Parts: sequence; structure tokens; C-alpha cells
Amino acid sequence: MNADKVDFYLMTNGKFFESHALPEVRNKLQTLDDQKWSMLQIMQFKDPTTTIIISILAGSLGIDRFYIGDTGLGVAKLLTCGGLGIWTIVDWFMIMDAAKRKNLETFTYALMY
Amino acid sequence: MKPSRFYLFMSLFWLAGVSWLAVSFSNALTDHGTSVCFFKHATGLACPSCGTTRSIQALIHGSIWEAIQINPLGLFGLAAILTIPCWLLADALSKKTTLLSSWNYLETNLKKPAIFWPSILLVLANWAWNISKEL
Repeated sequence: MNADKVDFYLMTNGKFFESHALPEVRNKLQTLDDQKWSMLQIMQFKDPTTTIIISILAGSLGIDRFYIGDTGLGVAKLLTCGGLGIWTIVDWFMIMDAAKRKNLETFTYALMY
Repeated sequence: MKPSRFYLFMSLFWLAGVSWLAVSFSNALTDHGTSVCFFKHATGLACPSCGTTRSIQALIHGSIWEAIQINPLGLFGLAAILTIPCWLLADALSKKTTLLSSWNYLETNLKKPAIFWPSILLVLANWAWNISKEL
């Protein structure tokens, strides 16, 4: 894929990934076939800002974990009063990175096929 | 989730659960109405899992019916507290990751709408019951 498209993609979607993962994303994009550009455009990522808002408002019910696709952890959080309140607070600081890690997983998984 | 991260999380999760249970028994915090539930403090209403500690305590004292009356989730809680350490130990000794595989299997199945929505409805029904009981 040409450099312009890679730069454009990173400008518009860079916020969905952890900063240290961006070189990896760039490398993958550079080696990617141009035909996959349309697939990249329709790829859905979880917005870390939305995730932190959900976490602050409904984190004690595990909704933030359900939102990013960690259903198992969501159930665990829901059934333990948000991990006795401790996990809720920890997630306020961790959930954005967790969402970004999930986005990288989605990105990597989608490009495998 | 990476296996090392998952096993560390499960160990800490179990340890936190057992510690809370030990504190609730020794210090009788719950008898004084002390709650760590954010939702209850914020809204004054019980959350879906309020009463789980009391339910587990009732189970330990042998009152299964009382435990179900308080919160049926206590049965799952006690089952998890008893099962997790044995499973962690078995995986550590056999150097397998059966707990992680089972977790992934459960997670994949829970995401299926045919299982997800009935489960959510059950939790909501239990939550409504919790609120009506004023836990």
C-alpha cells in the first residue's frame, strides 16, 4: 500500500491504537495489498474515549468490559459489585489501553484473511 | 488475553474474593451495613450482585434455602471460590492451560445472542428481585 494511504489511515485511526503499536500497524499497512483498502475503511474500532465514559458511569456493572468485547470479564465484574469497587477504580485507568489492545487484535485478526 | 496475564488475574481475583470473605467473617463489616458497592452508594439501590457475600456466608453455615433467598449468585460465587484454586493448581502442575481454554470457550458462547440475551434477562430479573428485597 502506498505511503500516502498509510499516512492517511494512521492520521484518522491512530487514536484507536496504543502509541507503541503504531510502528507495527504502519509495517502491516505498508506490506498490505491495495485491494484491502476498502476493507480497512469499514473496519469498526472501539473508541477509547467512549469506553472511559462508560467506565466512569457504569463501570461497576461491567458494561465497559462488555463494550470492548471482554464478555467473560464483564460477567465477572458484574457479579462481584465491580470487583468490590477496586476493579472499577483500576479500570478507570486501564480501560482505554484495554480498548486499544482490543482494536489492535481486531486489526491483526481482520488482516489475516 | 495472554496466558500469563490471565493466570495472574485469576489468582488475584480469587485472592481478593477469599480475603473479602475472610474480612466479612472476622470483622462483621457487612453486619454494620458497610458496603463497597459503588452503585449502591451512588443510587441507594441494590446492584445485581448485592447480597452475594451474605449468600455465601449462609451457604457456609449450611442454609442453602436462605442463601438462594438472599441472592442465588452466591451459589456461583462459592462454586468459583472452591473451583478456581484447584483448577489453577491442576494447570500449574500439568503445565496446561485448560482454565484459559474453558474461559475462552465460555466467552465465545456467551457472545452468542441465544445465550447472551436470556442470561442478561436472568440477571435483570435477579436485580429487580434484589431491589424489591431492599438488599
